Amino acid sequence: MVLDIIISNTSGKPIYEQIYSQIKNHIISGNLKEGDMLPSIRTLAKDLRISVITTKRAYDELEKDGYIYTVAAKGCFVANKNTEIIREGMLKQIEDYMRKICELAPACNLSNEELIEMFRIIQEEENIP
Amino acid sequence: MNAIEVKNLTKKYNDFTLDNISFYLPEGSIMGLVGENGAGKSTTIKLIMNAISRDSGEINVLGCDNQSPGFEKLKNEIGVVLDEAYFPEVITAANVNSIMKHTYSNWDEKAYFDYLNKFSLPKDKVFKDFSRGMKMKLAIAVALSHNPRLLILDEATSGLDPMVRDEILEIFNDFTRDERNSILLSSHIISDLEKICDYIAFIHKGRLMLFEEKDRLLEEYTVIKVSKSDFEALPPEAVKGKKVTNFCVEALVLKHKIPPSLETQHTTLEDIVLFLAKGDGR
Amino acid sequence: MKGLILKDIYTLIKQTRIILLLVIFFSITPGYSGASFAVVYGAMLPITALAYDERCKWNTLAAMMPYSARDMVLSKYLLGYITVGSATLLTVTAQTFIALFRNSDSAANDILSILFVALTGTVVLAVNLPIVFKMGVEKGRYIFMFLIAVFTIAVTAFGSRLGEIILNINISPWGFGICLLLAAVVLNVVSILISVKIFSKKAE
Repeated sequence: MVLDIIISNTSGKPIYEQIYSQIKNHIISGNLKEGDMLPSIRTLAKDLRISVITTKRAYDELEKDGYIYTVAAKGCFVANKNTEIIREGMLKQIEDYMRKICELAPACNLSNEELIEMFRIIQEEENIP
Repeated sequence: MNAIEVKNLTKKYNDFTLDNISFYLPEGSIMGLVGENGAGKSTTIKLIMNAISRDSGEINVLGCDNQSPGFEKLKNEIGVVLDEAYFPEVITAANVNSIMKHTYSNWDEKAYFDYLNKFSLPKDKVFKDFSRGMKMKLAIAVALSHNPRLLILDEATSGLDPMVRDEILEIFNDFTRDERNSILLSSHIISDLEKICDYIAFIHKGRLMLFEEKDRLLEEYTVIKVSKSDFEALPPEAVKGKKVTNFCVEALVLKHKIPPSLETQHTTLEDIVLFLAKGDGR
Repeated sequence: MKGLILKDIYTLIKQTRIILLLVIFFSITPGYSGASFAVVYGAMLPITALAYDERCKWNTLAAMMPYSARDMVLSKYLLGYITVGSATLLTVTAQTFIALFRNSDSAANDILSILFVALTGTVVLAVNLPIVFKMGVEKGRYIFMFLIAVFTIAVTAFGSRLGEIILNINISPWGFGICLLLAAVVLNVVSILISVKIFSKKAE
């Protein structure tokens, strides 16, 4: 299993949020499966060369939101959360946003091509592959 | 447990006062002590090691009052690297091994020679022929070779080339993979500290200006560039430092106290420290 | 403490070869006066060691190590006893050989005199070290020179008369030796206590 976590110091997004959302994405996308062990807080912090406190904060948030659980003296594991439902919910959200776009685009006289171009530019700006 | 606890520490000299300093270093973390030359970093470190005695306040190191009789023995578990105190000129790295074998009860000869190899330090070259980088690396090798739980380093990375600095920072990073190990690191090179520290303490003219978790600092503070009229409209408590030019005002502000519409600049620890040092408030 | 003495010995061996050679040269010079120079040079070595310490700010570094003020001070006294002792041993051995070679019978007297000088060496050490700990090596060294000068003048001026006095008060050379030994021990103990006080105070 390859666990990609890329921390950007210039994005302006707090580092704990970056870890939180990237691990969450790994769980929802199925890259991390239920029961998988996460790297220890200290290992992750030292490997990413970031603060231990920050990493702990990200793990605490993940635990609070039910994505992971901690076994004392063993480590952190991916929780039994119905990721399918979470994914459904997210897909629904995407659909909702797209509906909004469909509503707004004609008012601005935007063609589909222009919309796709806009989407690409935003992706590039946000550095999303 | 805290590896170091400093409470209301004060030390007066004729021309300098270290004034009522308080901070702590939780076990397992790295703290950066920032400040200009002469700000009081070395004095603080010497006070922590009880090499000079304090006028007032409290200092606990590894759970022990540093003026209690037990502290002498506890120094076996503390590795210290100083900026400008060295081994005698004619001593070689091999001599240092023999000396330290009879100095530290827990001296690890093998670890020491491994570090010498790792740092490519010659065993038989005399100390005065070492470059500054080599001297620092030798001191760090000594500090690491008696199984310390706490490393205290005074300007250990200044005057070194970037490659060596990075190498040394990596070693510090690895040292704290063990959660019982802690580091206090002083430097005036803030970017080094930004790379590896969990906590930052900033001393300016003998006073503690700041003691905070590093990432929180970067989350809470930001630099903005605004017109004078926009600047005047900001809530006063949001502004922590400013630079006024003819065209705009550059200011260090608390992120959550400014209107979200303002565009924030990418802010480094160095920006924060410089604003706080120069501004001394609004 | 062994570490501290070891550090001084490494430094001295490498940095003061000339003085060490002088010690050896004077040790094997026939007669009592040359030999006493060897012992006096021996007594100077701890001060030289302190000078090298000052140059590299060793004390600041050593304060970070598990050493107390007592260790720091005592190590210099021990170093002094080692250097004075070695110089004496060397001298006595050399003089014994020379005496055997020459079939001279003044050797026993000479050796006794050298032992007196050795004790005097530790006395000089006891007087000098607290001064050096207090005022630093440079000033301390001048005072040391001064003491040596006074001592030499005193010996030259009153040396023979001192012998008479000893004869008059009817004390054997052995008795005199024991008195000198006791005086040296007391002086050194007091001196060490004072030095530790001075050293601890300096750290403030």
